[in-house]
Amino acid sequence: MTLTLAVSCFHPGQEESGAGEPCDNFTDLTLSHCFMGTSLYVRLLLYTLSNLNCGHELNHHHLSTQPLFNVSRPTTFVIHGYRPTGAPPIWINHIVHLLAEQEDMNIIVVDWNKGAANLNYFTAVAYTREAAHNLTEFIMNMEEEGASLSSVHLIGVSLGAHLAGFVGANLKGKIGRITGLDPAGPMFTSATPEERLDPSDAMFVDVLHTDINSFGLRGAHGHIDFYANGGADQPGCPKTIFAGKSYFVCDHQRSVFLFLCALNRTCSLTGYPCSSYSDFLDGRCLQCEAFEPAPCPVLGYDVSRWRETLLRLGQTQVFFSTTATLPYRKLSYRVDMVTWNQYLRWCVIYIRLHSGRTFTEARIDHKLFRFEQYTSTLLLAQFDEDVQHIQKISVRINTGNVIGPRYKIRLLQIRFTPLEHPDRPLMCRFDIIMEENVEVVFRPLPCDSHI
Amino acid sequence: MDIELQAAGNRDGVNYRPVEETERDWLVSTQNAGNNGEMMPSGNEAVSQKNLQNTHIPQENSTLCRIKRDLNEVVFWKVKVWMIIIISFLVILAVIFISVCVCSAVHEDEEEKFDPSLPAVAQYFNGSFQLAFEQKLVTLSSSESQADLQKTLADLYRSSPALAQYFSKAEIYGFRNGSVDYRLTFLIPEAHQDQLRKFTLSREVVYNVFRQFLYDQEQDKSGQMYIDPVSLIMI
Repeated sequence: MTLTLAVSCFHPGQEESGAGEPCDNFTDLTLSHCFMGTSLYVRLLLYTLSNLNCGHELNHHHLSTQPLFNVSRPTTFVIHGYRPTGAPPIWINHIVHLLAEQEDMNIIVVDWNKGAANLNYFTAVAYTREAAHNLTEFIMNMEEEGASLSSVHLIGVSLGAHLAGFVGANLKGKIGRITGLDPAGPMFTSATPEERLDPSDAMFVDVLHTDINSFGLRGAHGHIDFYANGGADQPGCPKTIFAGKSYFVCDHQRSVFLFLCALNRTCSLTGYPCSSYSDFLDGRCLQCEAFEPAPCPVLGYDVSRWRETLLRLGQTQVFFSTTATLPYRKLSYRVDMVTWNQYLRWCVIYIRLHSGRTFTEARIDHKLFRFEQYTSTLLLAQFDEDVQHIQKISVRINTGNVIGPRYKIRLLQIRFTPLEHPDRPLMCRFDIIMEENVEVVFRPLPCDSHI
Repeated sequence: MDIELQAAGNRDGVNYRPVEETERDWLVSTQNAGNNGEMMPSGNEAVSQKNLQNTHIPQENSTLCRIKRDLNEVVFWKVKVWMIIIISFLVILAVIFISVCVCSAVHEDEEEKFDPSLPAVAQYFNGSFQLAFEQKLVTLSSSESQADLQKTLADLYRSSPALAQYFSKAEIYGFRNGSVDYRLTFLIPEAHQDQLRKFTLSREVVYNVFRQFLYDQEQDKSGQMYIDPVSLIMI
């Protein structure tokens, strides 16, 4: 440990920050500390562009003692949640680096590991109020030194999200922004808005939900609430307890990984305003008119494009789907079909996009879709991979009946509208017959037509 | 079970007490069973021992034996009752299976039926397109290539699932300034005129069926009759 400390301190990039000055790392505790119980001790570790790999602990009262801390720059606080094992969060360094890439700012890691590391969750919950007071005082000191509250951004994970909410409430909602990453659910399910994170805690509150059915919190808590995969079970997370620890933490932790990925700009996750995830999957919520000329809100650091609209709308819930692994993003198409079948038919649809030998499939089988003569059937097709230059599309239908005739669906037109890529062309095909369980392959043509 | 038991007893003509009575008086029923003087397979005994109500053991043993005897009764020739039961089950299954198969095989898709005798009105689509190779236009004026193009157009609409039933004819009637003029005639049944005009026989669909045919042939651009998809116009 001392070795790594020494190595990181004499990193060549540290010279400006004063070589030889020891780095202050995140408090590393062990399970025995948790077992014995820890009492609250809040440390504030400062990271800036000039000391990205070596944190400097700030004095709560004498800010000017740390020359790297420039109050005229925006300040982002990263607040972790409950630490049942006492180990530092694995994403701390990652988030510090990614935040530094966004703009020139002070990044302060709020290390309240002593306090959060308790086997007894209730103790940690009780400490959030105390830690919030501590942090409130620090931010008030910052304000006295000349910092603007509107340039303060609190990013809280799990219990840290409520902690951030308390700080915001203490400062009467004058803080610029609070980002809540899957705000903690246990002990907060029946909390009033004052007892948890809510939109009045800051000028802008954005929340990401990934585990509302266990460690996360159900309901809307920000000006915008993002629900990844409906906010409950995340793809790729274990379904049974045999997977061990990840069975418990995977869904909850996914919120941090999705946010990191969004900061990294490797995944652009667009949320569609909707009343429920099932309505979203049914393709009923693909309209983004409310945000025009901007597209629908994208998860991440930069919210300026949507801020005003969202504040005007009050509280907005948005939904998106992800894949199981990086880059999490799914490729979505709106598919419109018109049939000339005389009789009403119901079926599920499998669509494949082919480019050369590679293909990606969307299985739209969460319910039977209705095909009525001369009526447009709309569905949302989400593909795991982004296939560019689509050469062929294949479609297969299934009505679900085992015996009896193979039904056909006769289409006048099928149209594919890429949702997140307005620059890509719409694809169309006319006059095709889809027979049950038989794959129909066709070459899409550009929809634009000058009749 | 009890009813079956009684019925079996009656058929055999063996004097059995009503079931209710045997349940009350186990001694009598034991005697009854004993009177039958039949051999009891040991397996049956084991089965009956599982029964908690020991009073029923002798009666059930005899019943099983009798059912077995009944099943082995010859109905005619060498055919026994159990064979008839199994065969009738198989026949029922086969009938179900065959009828399902037949039904799905002879299933007539109502939607594929079309009555051409219905009174119809004509609908025309005019337009033009350009052939990619201008030099071909010189020879095109010949009636032979005109017929070729006409046939291509007619084939294309006759093979369209949605439009074939309404398609009447395609005519090429002019070559001017390098472009070819055509006219398509469709016959729309009067009954569904409005909807058909609006959807199936809309200009959008008729035009795009032609257009996607042109896109599909794009792969072999060297073809003699290559029509540039972008040049297609329909009014």
